[in-house]
Amino acid sequence: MSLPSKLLITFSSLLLAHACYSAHEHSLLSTTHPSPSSPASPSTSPSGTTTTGSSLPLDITLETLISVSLLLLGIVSSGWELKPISLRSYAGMLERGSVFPDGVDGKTTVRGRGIFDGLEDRPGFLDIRKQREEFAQWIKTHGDS
Amino acid sequence: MTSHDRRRHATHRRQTHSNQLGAITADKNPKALTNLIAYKPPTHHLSPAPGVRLASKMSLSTYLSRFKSVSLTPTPSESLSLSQLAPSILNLSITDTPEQWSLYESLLLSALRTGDDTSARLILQRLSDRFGNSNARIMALQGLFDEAMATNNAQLEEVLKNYNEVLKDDPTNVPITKRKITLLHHLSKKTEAIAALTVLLDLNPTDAESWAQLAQYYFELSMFSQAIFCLEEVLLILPNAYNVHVRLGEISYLAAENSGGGVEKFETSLRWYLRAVELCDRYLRGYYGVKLVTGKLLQSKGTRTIPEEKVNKLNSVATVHLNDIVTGFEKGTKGFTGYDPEEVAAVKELLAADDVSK
Repeated sequence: MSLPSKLLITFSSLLLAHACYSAHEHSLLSTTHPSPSSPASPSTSPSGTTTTGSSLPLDITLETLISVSLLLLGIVSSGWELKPISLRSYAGMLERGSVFPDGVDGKTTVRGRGIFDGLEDRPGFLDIRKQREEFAQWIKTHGDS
Repeated sequence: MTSHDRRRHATHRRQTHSNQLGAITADKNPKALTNLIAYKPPTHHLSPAPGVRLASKMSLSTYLSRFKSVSLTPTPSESLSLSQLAPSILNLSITDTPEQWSLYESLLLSALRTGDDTSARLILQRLSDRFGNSNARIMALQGLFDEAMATNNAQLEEVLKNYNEVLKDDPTNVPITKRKITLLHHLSKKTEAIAALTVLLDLNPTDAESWAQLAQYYFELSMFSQAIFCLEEVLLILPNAYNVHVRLGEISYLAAENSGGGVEKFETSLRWYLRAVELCDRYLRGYYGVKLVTGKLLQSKGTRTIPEEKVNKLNSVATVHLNDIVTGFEKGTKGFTGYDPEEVAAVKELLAADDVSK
């Protein structure tokens, strides 16, 4: 995460919190202190209370909108590592062992693998006797140590 | 073969596949499963390899990831540590999930590689109790087991005869056909193996694995142009297989060397290598080939179709990449650790030889 995006996220979060607080305060103010003109002229009170009770001042609305868009911008630009979507980069990462395919534990192995390794290993044509001989040879030299 | 024939064969293959699937579900036999759960682990004559955890509390998925993290042709020490998991895996209760059976299959191969025949027999027994002896895949595993158990060539011929009998009843049994071909090749009947493989490819021309295997057989007999043809068939099926491109580059290079080294042949090889590098980022084998072939091209005299400055540039680009790979691998930088140590050593040798000639 880069520093500018961190600052942007902090700033816009503060702004959003401030907007929320202002909105809350505003609603409290309008319900506990009805406007002094309402008892004097009851005929205008329905229209008067609806405007003060339900609508926020323009500055709070603007503050909310701006803070939310800045916050989104900050999160998007904070630059986490994107997943490779082209075959070229994904295949390269697999071969180099930077990523491992699903179900493979990267901690138990370090060797990279390819997407098309099956074409060179060819499990259907497995020559088991050859592999057994290789293993028997290996165990002769390493097994007793 | 015409395109119509290919299509017909493809549909035919699909039908046999669905038949096999039907066989799997039909052979379900839960009673046999419960009989086999009680199992005594065999006493191993080998001491556990270092780094093998006591695996009593590992779950099925952990075992699977252990097997998946090893390539299909593991080194002997890898095979040993995998096959030592056999007792604990066989003692897990049978849940009858696809994961469990694929784990059993991998374990069977490991056990056969390391000569743990008791475990192998038991695994095979459980697999065939579950899926039935007539399932093509189980038949191939059974064949693999018989091949491994045979002590002399006469017994191997017996196994081969069994394969032929199975194929007489069902000529479309692909796994058994593949076993038969491998066994023929193992018994040094290379031309017969190639003949059988071409018949299989006539039946089933969209199987990339068979084409790749045929290329290998031709390559072993130094029939380079036939091998190249087969690998090009693989590319028709899997056009992005960069390791096949590299293989084509390698075989073209050897063919060029063998025939006295025509410039245009080296250029063909260079084109294959360049395509491989294009398909896979920082591909060691690809850049190794680019470096090797451009070096050859710069030395040789003759009319080139690729201008010299381009060849020079490609050579220096490959050098830069290979140097990056070698230094990154030796320092253990993140993202460079997955290379094969032997391949990196070969790259170092090539770069050193290049320095000397300059």
